[in-house]
Amino acid sequence: MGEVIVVTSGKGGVGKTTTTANLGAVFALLGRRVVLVDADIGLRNLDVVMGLENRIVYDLVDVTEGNCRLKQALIRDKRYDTLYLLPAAQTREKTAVSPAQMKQLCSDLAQDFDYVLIDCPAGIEQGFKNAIAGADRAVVVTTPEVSAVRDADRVIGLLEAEGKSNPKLIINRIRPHMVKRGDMMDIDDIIEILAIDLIGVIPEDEYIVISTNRGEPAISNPTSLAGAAYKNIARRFMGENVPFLNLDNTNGFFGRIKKIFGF
Amino acid sequence: MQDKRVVIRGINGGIEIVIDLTAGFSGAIKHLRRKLAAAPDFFRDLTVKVKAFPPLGEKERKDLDMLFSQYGITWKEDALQQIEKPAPLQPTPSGRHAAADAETHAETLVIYKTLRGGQEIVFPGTVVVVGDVNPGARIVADGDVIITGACRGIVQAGAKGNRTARITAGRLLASQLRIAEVVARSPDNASNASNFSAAKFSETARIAEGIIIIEPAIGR
Repeated sequence: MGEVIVVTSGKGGVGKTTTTANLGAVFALLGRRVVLVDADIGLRNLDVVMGLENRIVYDLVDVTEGNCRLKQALIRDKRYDTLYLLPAAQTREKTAVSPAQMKQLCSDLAQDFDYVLIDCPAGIEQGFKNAIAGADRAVVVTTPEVSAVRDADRVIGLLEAEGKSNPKLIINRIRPHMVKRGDMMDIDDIIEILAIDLIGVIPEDEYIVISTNRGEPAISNPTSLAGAAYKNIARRFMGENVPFLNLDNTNGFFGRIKKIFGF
Repeated sequence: MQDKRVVIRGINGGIEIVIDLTAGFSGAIKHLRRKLAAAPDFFRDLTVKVKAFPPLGEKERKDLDMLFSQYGITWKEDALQQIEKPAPLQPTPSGRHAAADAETHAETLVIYKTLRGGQEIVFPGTVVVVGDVNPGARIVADGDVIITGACRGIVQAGAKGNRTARITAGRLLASQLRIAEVVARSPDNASNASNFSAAKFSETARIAEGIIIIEPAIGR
């Protein structure tokens, strides 16, 4: 029986889809069977980020409506053999699926896979309720901005109300030099407000834009700092004790990934 | 069912701890210890009134002395009159009065968690939050509001017009405070848009001469 993890944030554009794609790819790289579920019905883009859009025949709504079998809708990734995608329907709306159907879908997928990663849509309405319905655990992604933290806080409250306690926090797009100058919220500020466990910090990385446009997860590029951060997060999820990246030292790649923190 | 053996509540000018000893002293003190441990700095240097029922014995006073001194709390014992007993102290024959009791004794609501954005508490009495009140959360209380952690949300005390109501927080960083009909907001030039003050000690807001003033909660 696999684990169902929802990646959520409240605010849009903070990196839910990028996080889902990269974490999924690392899990697969480490030999786990993984399926990514795009729960953003009507605004699908996980398929684009994965570079699989031209392979979509059936989608999530086809499965819930019984137009196809679950296995028929799963798309195998180009690079990782144990990574699959269940794409969202593009021509439908969030109301095409109910939380009960999502719960069923997740438990069906968890029979076959080690990890079921759900890419949650922005917002806290029906799409959010669908996405979290079948999840065992939640990851909350935020960026060091007051608005994103505010929304993350709201979402954590809603997750708690649904009994999904103890979500993990990912802080995305942090710019160490801005934090140093005091122009950006630092990690401690964010954790003080959200008061949940931090599972990873991802530095701002231009390569994310390139990788998204190319349709290949950043983790496949060994020089991507964000990719390195995602690899660590995935390993922490699997229970490994991986030190946090030192983002202060920007002298060359090996300097940058030098790990100094002991936790 | 919430445990009411130890009830911490704000009263005018201080904090009162009501201890129900009918089920034994050791159980009650265990609860008190847990509550204090949840917010070790909140009570520091405060004077609290302790009301116990039945009254404390000599040994029990010593135990309380030891516990309170760990947290830097000075305490005074106060006789608990029958009439002030919280609901669970009265032996209810069959529990059929439970709902009615909750209604008539709804003077204090204790919340053991952080209130997050979008969450709202409306209560016809005093509200105590053991935790933080985050931005976007709202508390509307007819009585006082006491927050052991940081208060960054919107808090209204004395919502039905009680101008003597107070708002006390471990760190009072609210963007807006309301007592009765008086509204105070943080200055526009505050660094992160939600900073009444950056004091590192507990503060109390109350109405004085028609405006809301904020002062250290210590010794009040």
